[in-house]
Amino acid sequence: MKNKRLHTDDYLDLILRSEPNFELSSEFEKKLSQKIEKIVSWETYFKQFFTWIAVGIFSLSVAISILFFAQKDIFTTLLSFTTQHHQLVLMVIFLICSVVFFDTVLLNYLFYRYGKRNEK
Amino acid sequence: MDDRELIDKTLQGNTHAFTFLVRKHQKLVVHMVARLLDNKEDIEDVCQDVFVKVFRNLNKFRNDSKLSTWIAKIAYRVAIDYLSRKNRQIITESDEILSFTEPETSADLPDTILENKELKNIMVTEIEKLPLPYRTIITLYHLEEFSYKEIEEITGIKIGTIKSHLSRGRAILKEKLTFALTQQRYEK
Repeated sequence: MKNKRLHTDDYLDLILRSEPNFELSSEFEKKLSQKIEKIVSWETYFKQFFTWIAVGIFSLSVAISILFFAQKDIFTTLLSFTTQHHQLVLMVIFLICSVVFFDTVLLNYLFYRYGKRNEK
Repeated sequence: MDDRELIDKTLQGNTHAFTFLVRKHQKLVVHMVARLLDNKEDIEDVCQDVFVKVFRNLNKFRNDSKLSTWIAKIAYRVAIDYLSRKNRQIITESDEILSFTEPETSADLPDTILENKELKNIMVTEIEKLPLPYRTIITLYHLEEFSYKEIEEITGIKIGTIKSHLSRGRAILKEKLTFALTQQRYEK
C-alpha cells in the first residue's frame, strides 16, 4: 500500500515540477531594455535639471551674501525692489526654471525619441 | 559572474549587466507570474513590470536574503497588485476546499502514465484552477524549490499556513488525479 501511495505522489511531484505552458516572446529582452533605457534617460535628464537649479540657488546665495556683507546699500536697494516687484521677480524665476527644464529635460527627451525613431 | 557583481555593475550604469541578471532570473519570474495570472496576454507585460521594479529598487537590495528570493517577492507583489487592479478575488477558498480532507486510498499508476500527455494537461489545468495562495506556494515550493522560510519571506504567509496550504493543494490535486485516471479507464 505504501509503495502505491509513493507512486501517486511521485507522479504528482513530477506534474508539480513541470513548467507552466508559457514562453516569453523573443522581443522580451529588447522591449525590457528599451523601457530601462527610457527610465535611465528620464532620471539623467531630471538629475541634470536639479543640478542646474541647485547651482543657480547656490550662486544666487553666494551673490546675496557678498552683497549683504560688502555692499549693503546695493543689497538694500535690491531687497526693496524685490519686495515691491515680487510678482515680476517670481515670474522671472519661473521663466528661468521653465527654460532650464525645457533645455535639460524636454529637449533631451525629444532628441532621444527622435534618435530612436531614426534607429528603426 | 555572481549576483553581487551583476548588481554592482548595474548600479554603476552597466545595462548589459542587468540584461544578464534578467536572463538569470527570467525563468523564476515567468513561472511565478504565469502560475498566478490567468490571462496569458498579460503575463509578458507583468514580467516586464517586475524587472523594471527590480531595476528601480536594486540599490535597496541588501544581502540579508538571496537575490532570487527578493526578485520572487517583487514578482509576487506585482502580480498580486495586477490582480487587485483587475478586481479579481485573490483568496478564493470555497467551503468545499476548506473542508477538504486527503483521500485515504491511492491508485496504483500504470507505467505508461509518463507518456500520457492528456492526463498531464488535465493536471496542469487543475493546478491553474487551485486558489491563488495554493498555486503560489506549490509553485514556489515544488518548481522553484524555495524553503518554507523563503516562501514566508516572499508571500508574507506564516510557515504553518504554508504547510497546510501545501498539503491541502496536494490533496486536491491527488483527488483530481485519481478522478481523471478513473475517467480515462472508464472511457477505454
